[in-house]
Amino acid sequence: MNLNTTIAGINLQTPLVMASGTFGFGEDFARFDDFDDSAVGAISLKGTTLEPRLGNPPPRIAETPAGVLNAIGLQNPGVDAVVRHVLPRLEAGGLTTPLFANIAGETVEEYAEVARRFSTAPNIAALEVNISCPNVRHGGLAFGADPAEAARVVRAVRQATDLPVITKLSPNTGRLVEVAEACVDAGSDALSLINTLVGMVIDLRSRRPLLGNQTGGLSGPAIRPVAVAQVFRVYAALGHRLPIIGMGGVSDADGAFEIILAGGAAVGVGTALFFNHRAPREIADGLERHLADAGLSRLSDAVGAAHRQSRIGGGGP
Amino acid sequence: MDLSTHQPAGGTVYRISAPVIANRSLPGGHRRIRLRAPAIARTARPGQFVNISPPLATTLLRRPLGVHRTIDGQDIEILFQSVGKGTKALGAVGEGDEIDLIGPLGNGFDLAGEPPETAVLVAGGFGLAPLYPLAAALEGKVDRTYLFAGTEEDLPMETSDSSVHLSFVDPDIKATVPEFEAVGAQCRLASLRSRPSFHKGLVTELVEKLLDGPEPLGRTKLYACGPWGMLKKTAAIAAEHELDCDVLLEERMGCGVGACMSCSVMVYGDGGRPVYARACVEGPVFDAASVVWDAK
Ligand SMILES: Cc1cc2nc3c(=O)[nH]c(=O)nc-3n(C[C@H](O)[C@H](O)[C@H](O)COP(=O)(O)OP(=O)(O)OC[C@H]3O[C@@H](n4cnc5c(N)ncnc54)[C@H](O)[C@@H]3O)c2cc1C
Ligand SMILES: Cc1cc2nc3c(=O)[nH]c(=O)nc-3n(C[C@H](O)[C@H](O)[C@H](O)COP(=O)(O)O)c2cc1C
Ligand code: FES
Repeated sequence: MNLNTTIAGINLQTPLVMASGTFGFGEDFARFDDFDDSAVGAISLKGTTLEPRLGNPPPRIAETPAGVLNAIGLQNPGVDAVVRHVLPRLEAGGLTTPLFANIAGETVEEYAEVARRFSTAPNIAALEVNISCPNVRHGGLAFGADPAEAARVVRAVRQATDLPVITKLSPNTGRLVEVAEACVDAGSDALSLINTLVGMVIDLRSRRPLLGNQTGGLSGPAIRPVAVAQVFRVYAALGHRLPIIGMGGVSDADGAFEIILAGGAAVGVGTALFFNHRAPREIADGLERHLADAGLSRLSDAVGAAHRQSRIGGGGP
Repeated sequence: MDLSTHQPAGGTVYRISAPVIANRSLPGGHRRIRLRAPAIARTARPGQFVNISPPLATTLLRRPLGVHRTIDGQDIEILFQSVGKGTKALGAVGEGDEIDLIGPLGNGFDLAGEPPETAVLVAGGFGLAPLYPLAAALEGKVDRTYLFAGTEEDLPMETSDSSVHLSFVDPDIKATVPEFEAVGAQCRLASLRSRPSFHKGLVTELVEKLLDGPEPLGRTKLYACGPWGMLKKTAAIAAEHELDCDVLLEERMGCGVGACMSCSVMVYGDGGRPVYARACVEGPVFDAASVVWDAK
């Protein structure tokens, strides 16, 4: 069955996008003797800034009931190191999976400059503008929670590149749809959501916040219903204008199909990779079964289908 | 250490559904589990670890545990402490159950270079477990190996009194770990409270007694695993005596394969600039002189 999907003109062999920050710069999971590239639609690289970033003090990760709280703080080697060393290495290694550069900055100008530099690389398919990182003091969420600020970033990136622009939205705002609309009006070609939800774990032994950064971003199965609801809302408002990459807590085909039915043309897979590197293959196989069960021949027929199902006579409560 | 380009590193990682061959309890509530994992048993080096999913999806994340011993290229043995949800669940598995794990992970101890003449292994509590395969690998390669272990509780390996006399400690300090003696290591144990045959004090005091004592040592290297404070002190002793010293550091982990930057340890990078290195790839074994000890 055909799991092909198209995001902003980029053809993906499956709808599965390896979520930024959980898949490094695309190389680490290849260490598994049986990692199956053929199930991967695209790779979103680790959030990258203009200068190298040290990141937050450890501990940077904590487990929660059904979730993971992280506060990496965008540790990355800086755009120039990625463009000069990492991307050529990936190209030389023969990696053909489309790569999204996930870009971050503290100022609008920084986002634009990172976008410009990534645009010189031959093997970046799209830019994913991360205006939703909850773990950095400046930038990140400050842009993602306000429609006008978000639009400023997207407009600047739009002007700095000819590549497709995907804007990554935060669930940590009551103005999600407004922010999404502003990004679309500013020239975003696609949206991805959700980034992590702000959370905190307190260490009972020290009686202090466990993470070095105090708060972190919650991901994993715990956030899936939030992701489904937010994808649903954004699709209802903007699904006719641009594609959505839906993500948050997807670890199996059922979760991925929920995201697709809610309106995701593609599905991000992140935290699940930490405990199951075979998740992409298992999800792709399971999606084929879901499509067959629904009597659909193409994935695109399922995208947003939850909006079209009539409740009347639908048999539900 | 050049970390500026996020080098992918480390060898092939296998995921195995490993049958439990045995899961025994040890003194102090510790456990020794033996798992059938040939691909890992054949390739794991001392100091490397596996990332285990506790049974019945008890936890979301895997748990990093050191490979204590490989047996006949077939099985791996792990010594572990039941401290929380994941390790408690692991303690409850029995023969015939299968455990989902990935490995081998991490760099392990560097055994490729020229070996020292004297190897001094320093363990704090559970740090004893990952040092055992190192002692075994060093046997025959170095002229002599010492193991000093400090603990306030029961160690995960059996202890007894040694019949070997060591010139640099009092004769009544003779507590040893027979399994280490069997691979050629001379051992002494330390505890902060009074225990028969133990040195009363810090384990690092035993290291200092050796280094300052009459034994001819030649080129000496320290290898340490245990709590941060003990490692920091060991690193300081190594620096003072101008000795090489490797430390095995435990950090909380996400992916275990180098992708997520969860397990960062602050080290001095190129030009002495502090950078974060990944405990799961560039570690868990670090040159003690490269670690920023005041970062914690
Ligand atoms: C490289 C390495 C090798 C290790 N080898 C051994 C070993 O051989 N035997 C052994 O008993 N223990 C070892 N540990 C420690 C072991 O990983 C922890 O005791 C275990 O993760 C605790 O899990 P839990 O669910 O029981 O505890 P919980 O406290 O419920 O765990 C909560 C979270 O914190 C993490 N965590 C808690 N303590 C540690 C720790 N000390 N290090 C890293 N993460 C931690 C857990 O992985 C989990 O994500 C090693 C750790 C590392 C990093
Ligand atoms: C350790 C970690 C690091 C992350 N780093 C980034 C990042 O650099 N940029 C970004 O846009 N999102 C980042 N995210 C968010 C994920 O891409 C994803 O949006 C989120 O985790 C929800 O999906 P999941 O539940 O499948 O992981 C990170 C998530 C985790 C767990
Ligand atoms: S645990 Fe993911 S990089 Fe080390």
